[in-house]
Amino acid sequence: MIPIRLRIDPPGGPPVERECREGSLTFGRGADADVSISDHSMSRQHARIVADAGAWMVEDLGARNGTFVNGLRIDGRRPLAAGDVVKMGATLVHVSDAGTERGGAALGFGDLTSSIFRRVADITDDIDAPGGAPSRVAARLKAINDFHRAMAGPISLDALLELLLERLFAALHPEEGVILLRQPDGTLAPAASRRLPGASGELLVSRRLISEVVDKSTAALVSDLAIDERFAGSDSIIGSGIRSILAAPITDATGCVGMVAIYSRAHVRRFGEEDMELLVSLASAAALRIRNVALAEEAAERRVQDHELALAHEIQMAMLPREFPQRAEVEMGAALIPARAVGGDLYDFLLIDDTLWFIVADAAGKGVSAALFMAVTRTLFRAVAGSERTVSSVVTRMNTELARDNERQFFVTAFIGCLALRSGALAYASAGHPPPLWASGQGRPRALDTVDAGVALGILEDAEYHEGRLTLEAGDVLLLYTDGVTEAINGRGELFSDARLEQSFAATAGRPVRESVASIVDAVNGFAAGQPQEDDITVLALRYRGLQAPPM
Amino acid sequence: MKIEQSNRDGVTVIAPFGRIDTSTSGAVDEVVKQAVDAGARDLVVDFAGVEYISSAGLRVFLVLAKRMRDLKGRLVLCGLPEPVRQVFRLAGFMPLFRVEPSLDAAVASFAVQP
Repeated sequence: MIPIRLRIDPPGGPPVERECREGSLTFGRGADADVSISDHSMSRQHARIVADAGAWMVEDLGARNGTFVNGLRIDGRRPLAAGDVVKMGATLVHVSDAGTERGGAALGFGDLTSSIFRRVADITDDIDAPGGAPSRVAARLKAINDFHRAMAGPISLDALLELLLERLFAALHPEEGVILLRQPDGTLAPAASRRLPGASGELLVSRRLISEVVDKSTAALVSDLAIDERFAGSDSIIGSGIRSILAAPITDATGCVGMVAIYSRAHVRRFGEEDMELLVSLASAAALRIRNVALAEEAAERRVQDHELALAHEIQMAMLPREFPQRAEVEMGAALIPARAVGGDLYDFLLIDDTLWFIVADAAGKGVSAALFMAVTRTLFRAVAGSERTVSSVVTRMNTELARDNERQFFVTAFIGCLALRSGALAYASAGHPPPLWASGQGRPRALDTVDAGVALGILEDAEYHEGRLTLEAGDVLLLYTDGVTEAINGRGELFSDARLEQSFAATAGRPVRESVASIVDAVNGFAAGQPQEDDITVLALRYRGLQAPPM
Repeated sequence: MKIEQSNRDGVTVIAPFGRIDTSTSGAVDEVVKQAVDAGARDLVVDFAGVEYISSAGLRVFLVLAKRMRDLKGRLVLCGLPEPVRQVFRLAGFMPLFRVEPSLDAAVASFAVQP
């Protein structure tokens, strides 16, 4: 038997040489061909070269695109000689004598069980044979390879999870896959899922599976759900029609952050142990990255929110009056310190001719919902105070408007006053608001009589509000506040209280009201001593100076 | 926060403990909502263990009262410590609720009142 040399020249790949002395060698695209070539124009079993009765023959194995020798299509077998060129698909095989000029080891066909002449990219692209063992190995390699490569670059969390599922589908051929991630509240929720077109039914997230995988931090391979003891009696998963499951925990240094699971309804024993290893490997590769990406996305989201809140804070602060009325009869000062970026407290005033309307209000809760309700309240105050004649009718109108369609029962407590600047006559009404303090003459400050106080605004559409009246003397000071002042809390859990407020107020008697306000705020801050501020704090002071001589 | 729930003579009793403020009112809201969703129509909220209630806390009970009215259920508050009573009174909310001094009185009130 004269040995021959074959130079195999596949499309797009480097040529390979083989020397043959006996036996038979099959060529084809299939992984089970002796010479497996990534050439899509080849058939799986395309042709073979065989030693027969002392001669080398080439035999077409029924290839769809035929086998050619020196340009002629062969039918069945044909002898081969040195110098022949065999064409199988796009692959050329050059035949020559195994002469002395090319030494080296000559291989018998018997030694060549499976030679794979493929570029790596071709191997990993060719995964059209889910049953074939070598192609599954290749698909696994490709999955790991692609996944690591993709993760080397910038990638969003969603894209990362999609990529994980995509690679798993390509390598392991499930019909459905789902990734659960732990949420800030500790629960696990689906973060990504994928299913083959045509897959039907609910996407399954079984508690039993979660407890097997996440709680025990172990990978699960279920070959046939119907006979797996771990799931006996778990009706939801049995009833789902799922037969095979492969699942792995997503675990990083902080513990288990999620789970990835793939299912097959159509096949038992769809997945094997090697598949489980692949899944575990990809899941752990993803874990650290998931955490980093999630942290980065959270941080970015927080930056956006912080920015929005900073804007909201500016908008809300801009709603507060920047200047007090320039009237000789009154002297005013105020401070508002929200507990968060935005808050539900409000003060405002409206000067109409010789009448000064003023309001201090506190919308329930804090944060954005309270801030919105506060903004509505301010708008209403401005609209209504200008058109109604009495304090009680202003408060009643505001309440009716706020109570309309108020399903969520937001409410706002408010104290509204109306001071006739020329006479000092004050009319006021309280809607569930703490009574202001009134300092008159040399006496101690006392709470304004609000026994007739009505319900906070927004709750009872037909509520009635009564007004109180008194006449301020020159030098009298009114101190309006919200309960964030008296309910400020210190490290021992004590409240700032009405008593301390009264004390702080009395201590600044006779000083400009702006100083009173500042010193009360200081007293509250000093009392709380770094304890987190629980509620918005508002203080407004108004001194009536009496009818001053008109300017010259 | 600790919130106890029990049943006395067919009356659902919910007893929160500690401070009911912005950070805890959600938990209280959840418990009362679930009780009503589960069919409770005779409901007592026992405030004996409540140290403080903020405006956010008040809202929980305003929403509850409104819902009980809509469902033709009955709601009674009881055991209000003075600081808590003060907050309800100041906001003008006392007239919106049936209030009894003690849990026993609250449960008993369902037998005699319609």
